[in-house]
Amino acid sequence: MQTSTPINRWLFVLPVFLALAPPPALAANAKGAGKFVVPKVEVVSWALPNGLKVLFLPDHKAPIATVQVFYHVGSKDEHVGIRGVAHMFEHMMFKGTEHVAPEEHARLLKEVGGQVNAFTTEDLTAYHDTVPPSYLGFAMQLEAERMRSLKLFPAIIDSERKVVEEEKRLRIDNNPIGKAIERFRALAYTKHPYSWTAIGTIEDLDKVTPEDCQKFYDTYYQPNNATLIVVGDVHESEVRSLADKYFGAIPRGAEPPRQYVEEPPQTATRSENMAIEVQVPVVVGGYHIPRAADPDTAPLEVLAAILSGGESSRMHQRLVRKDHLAIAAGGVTESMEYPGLFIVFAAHLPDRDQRKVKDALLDEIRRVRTEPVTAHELEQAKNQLAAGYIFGLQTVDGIAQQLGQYQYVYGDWREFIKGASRYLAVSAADVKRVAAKYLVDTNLTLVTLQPVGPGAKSTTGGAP
Amino acid sequence: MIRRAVLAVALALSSCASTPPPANKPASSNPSTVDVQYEPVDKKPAPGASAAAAPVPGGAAPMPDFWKNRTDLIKAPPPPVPAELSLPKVDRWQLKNGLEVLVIARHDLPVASFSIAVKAGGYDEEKGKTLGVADFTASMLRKGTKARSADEIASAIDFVGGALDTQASSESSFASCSVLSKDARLCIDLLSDVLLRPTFPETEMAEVRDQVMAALAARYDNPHELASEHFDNLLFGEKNPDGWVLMPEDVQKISRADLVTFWKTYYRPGNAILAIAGDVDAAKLRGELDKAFGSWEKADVPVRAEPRVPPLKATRILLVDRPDLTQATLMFGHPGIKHVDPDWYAVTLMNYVLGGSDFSSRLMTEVRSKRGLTYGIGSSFGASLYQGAFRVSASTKNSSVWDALVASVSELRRMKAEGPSEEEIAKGKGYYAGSYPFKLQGAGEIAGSIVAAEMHGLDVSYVKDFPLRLGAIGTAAAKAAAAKWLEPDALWVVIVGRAADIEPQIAKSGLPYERIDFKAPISYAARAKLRRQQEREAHPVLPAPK
Repeated sequence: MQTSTPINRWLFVLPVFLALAPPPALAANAKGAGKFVVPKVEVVSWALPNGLKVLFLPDHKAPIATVQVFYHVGSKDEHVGIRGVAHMFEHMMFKGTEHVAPEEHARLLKEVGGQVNAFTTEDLTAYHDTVPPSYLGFAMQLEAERMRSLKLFPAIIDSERKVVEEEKRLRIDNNPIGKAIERFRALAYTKHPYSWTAIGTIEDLDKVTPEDCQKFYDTYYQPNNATLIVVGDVHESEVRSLADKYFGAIPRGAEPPRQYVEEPPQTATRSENMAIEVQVPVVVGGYHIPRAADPDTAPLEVLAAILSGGESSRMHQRLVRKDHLAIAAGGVTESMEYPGLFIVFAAHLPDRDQRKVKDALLDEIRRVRTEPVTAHELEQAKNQLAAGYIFGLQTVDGIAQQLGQYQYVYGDWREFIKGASRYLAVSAADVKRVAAKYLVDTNLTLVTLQPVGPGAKSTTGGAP
Repeated sequence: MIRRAVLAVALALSSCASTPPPANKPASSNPSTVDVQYEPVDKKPAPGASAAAAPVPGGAAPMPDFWKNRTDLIKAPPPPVPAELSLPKVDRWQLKNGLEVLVIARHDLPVASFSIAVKAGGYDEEKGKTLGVADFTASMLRKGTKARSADEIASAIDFVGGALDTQASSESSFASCSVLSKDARLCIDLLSDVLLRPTFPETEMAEVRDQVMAALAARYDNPHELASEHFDNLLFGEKNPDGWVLMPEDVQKISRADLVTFWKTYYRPGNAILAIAGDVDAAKLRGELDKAFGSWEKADVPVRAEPRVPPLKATRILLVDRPDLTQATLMFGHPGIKHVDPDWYAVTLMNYVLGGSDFSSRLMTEVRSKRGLTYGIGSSFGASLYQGAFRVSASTKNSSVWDALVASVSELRRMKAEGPSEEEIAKGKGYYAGSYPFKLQGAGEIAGSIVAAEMHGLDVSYVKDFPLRLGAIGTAAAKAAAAKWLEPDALWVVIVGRAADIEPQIAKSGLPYERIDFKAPISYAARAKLRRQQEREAHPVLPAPK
C-alpha cells in the first residue's frame, strides 16, 4: 500500500525480493508522525487452559470476519532429510480430517461465501478463513477440527507429495528469480535451517514418510503452539464462547522442541554468478542481521525505507535515475525470528554492464556505512513507516495477518500496535551505526543472475 | 497487451481487493511464502481406472474410503441470503467544465484516496503508429509539470508516506493518490498538476522506455503471461486492440509529440471521473476542487469505434515450445460477453459452477480431483467494456496436457448441453451473497467499484444490488446462458511447454496446429511476415549476368 510507484510497477520482475520485505504495515504514533489521530487498535487477548492464545479485534467497517490460526512452525523446524515438510503439511491440512473429507474444508466455507487460504514461511504456518460474521462459529469449528483430527493416509500423502514437488518445480525451477533465491539462501546460511526456503527440496520431499508426517503434526499442531486470531464484525463474548466451545476440549500437547543451530559468523564475502535463461538480469546481495526482536531491527527498517521508499529513495535515485543502470533497485530487511538478512537488489536490462550495477549498489551501501543520513531522509522514512501502519489497518484480514506475523516473528503481537514509537528514537547516528555494523563486505553474500549466451557457462566465485 | 498483465500482477501482489480472480491464479514466485489455495491434487489415473474410482499415482496404496457413506461429517449451515449492500452516502456533483466528482466520506481511519479515471486507453491507440502510447503517456504524467520536476513530485509524495500512481489499461487511464487524510491537500495539488500541466520532458523518456522494455522481456519468463498474450492475439486478432501485442519496436517509435497529442486529445474534464474516498469533508472539497481542477479546459474527444471479435469456426491450436519448462501451461477459449449484457448475471453463475470456484468447480472436481490431469484449472468470462473472452487456463504435466484439454472440453460440452443444476446454482448464489462485501471493505474500493461500473455503462445500483441480481437468476436462465455462451467446438488453444513431450500428443489427434519457439514473435501477423522473409532468404534469386 505504501510502496511507491516504481516498485509497484515492476513488482512482477522482483516479486521475491519485495515479498521478502517486512510486512508493509509497521507502526505509528500520533506524536512522531505529524498531526493526525492514530486509530486505537484495541486488541483483546487471552489464553485457553490448553495454552491456545486468542487475539480479538472488533472491526465493524464491513459485514465480515476473519478467523486465522497461526502455528509456530515453519521450515526452520525442519532438518536435512525432511526439508519441505512444513509446507507439505499446509497442504495436508486441506486433505481430510476425522469429520471433513479431503478438499471439503475449502468447499464448505465457499458455500457460505467464505474465502480460504494458507501460507508457510520459515517461521510460521498460517491458515485463514474470511466469512460473513454469522458464520464465525462454522469457520472456528473447521479450524478446531483440523488442529488435532487430521487423517494422514499414506495414499493421500503420496499424491500430495507430488503436488508439492510440482509446486516447487513451478515456483523455483521454472522461475529464474526463484532459482537465484534458492541458491542465495544456500550460500548465505551454512548451518542454520534458513539455508533452505520454505518450499524445501525434491530430494527430501521424496523421502518424507507417513511417520515423519504424523510426528511433525503431533509435535507442532497443538493448541499451546498456536494463536487464534479473530478480527471483524463480531463481539468479544461471541468469540470467547465459540473459542471455548470448539477449541476448549483439545488437550494441551507437549511443548515443541526449540533448538536451532546457530549460524557461525561470516568472515568473508561469498559470491556466485548464475548463467541461466533469464530476460531481466538481477543482482541480489544479503547481509546477516539480528533476529527481528533485536533493538537494531528498528534502525535497519528505517534504513531500508531510506534506501528504497519511493522514487526519491537512494537506490532508485542512484541506479535508476542518475546512473541509468537499473529498472528497479532497493534494500529491504528480511526480518525473521532468528537472525535474518538485509537484502539489496537491482534488476537491469541485459544491455547494461552488470559489474557497474553491482558496484553502484554496493557503493550506496558504503555511503550509508560511512556518512550519516540527512534529517530530512530520517523524517521521511519515519513518515512512511507511520503511514504504512495506518494503511495496513484497512482490511480485517490484513490486520489479523500482521498480528500473527508479529506474534511469532517479532515475538509479540503488541509490537505491531506500538506504532511509530518503534521508530521514534531512531537517530541518524543509529542508522549509520547499524549500517557500519552489519552491512560490511565480510558479511555479504552476493548472487548475480545473467542470461545464458552462446557458449556461456555458469561460473562461480570472485570478489564482489 | 502488456499493460494489462502489469496491472494484473501489481493487483495480485498488492493485497488490494480487485475484480473476480483470474481463471487460474499464476503461481507466486516467492519461495518463502507459499499458499495452498489453488494447489491441486495430483492423482494420476492408473491405466484403465474408471474416472469415478480414486486413482493413486504409481500404483501405491489405494485411496481410503474413510469418508464414504458417513453421516457424521461436518455439513455447511444454510447459505447466506442475497441482500443489498448497504453503501455509505455518496456525494456527487459536476464541476463547470464537466468533471464528474464522486465522494464517499468515511472517518474510521485517517486516510484519503483520490483517483481520476480518464476514458482513454489502449483502445484509442493506432496500430503501427501509437501502440503503447496510452501507458507511456500515463507514466510520463508524473515525470514533470510546469511547476515541479519528476524528482520534486517523487519527493513530495514520498515525504508524507503516500502513493501516487499513474497508469493506463485498454479502456482507461488512471492517476491516483493515497495519503493520510492530513495530507489530502497534497493529493489534490499533485493530481491536478500532473493531469493539467504535464510537460512530458524528453529527458525523462528513456527511463520509462527502459522500464517498458524490461516488462516486455519479462513476458518470456512467465509461461502464464506468455500463454495469455498469445491467446489474446489469436482470439481478438490484428484488427482489435485487445489482440495487439506491444513489441520493443513500438515502444522505440513513440515520440514526445505522440504523448502530447494523446494527452491533449483525451485528457479532458468531460471525459473523466474523480473519485474521492475516506476521511474527507465533501462540503469543503467543493471549493478546493474548483480551484484545482476548474481551469481544466473542456473539449470534445473523438468517438471510439467499438472493436469486434472475429468469429471462430473450428478449434485451432498453437504450441509454444520452451524446452526447459517442467510444466505445461494450457489456455483455451472463445469470444465471450460484454459486461453490460443482460446475460452477465446468468453467465457469472454458470461460470462459477463450471470453473469459477476453485475446489468447488466442475472443472477442478472432474479434471483434477477425479482424473488427476491438472495441478490447477479454472475458467472465466472477462468483465469487458466490449466483447471479451471466455478462457480456461490450467497447469499440467507436459505429458498430460492433451488429456487435460480433452477432459476439460468434455466438461464444457456437458455444461452447454445440460447446464448447471439447481443445487449448483444455489451454492453460487450463496457464495456471492456472503463474499461480496469482502471486496468492498474500504471506502476506496467502493468508490473504485462505482467508477468501474459507470465506465462500463452500469451504475451505482449495479454495485449495490449485484448479489440480488444473481439471486434472481433461475435455473432455466443459467441453463440458457450455458447453451448460448459456451462454444466447446470452436476454440483457440494455446499450450506453452516442452514441445518434445507435447507435440506427439497433438499429432496423434490429427488436428492441425502451429508450433513456434517461445521467443518467436507473439503476433501471428508478425510471424507470417517473418516466415515470408525467411522463405525469400532461403530461395535467393539467380544472380544477374555479369
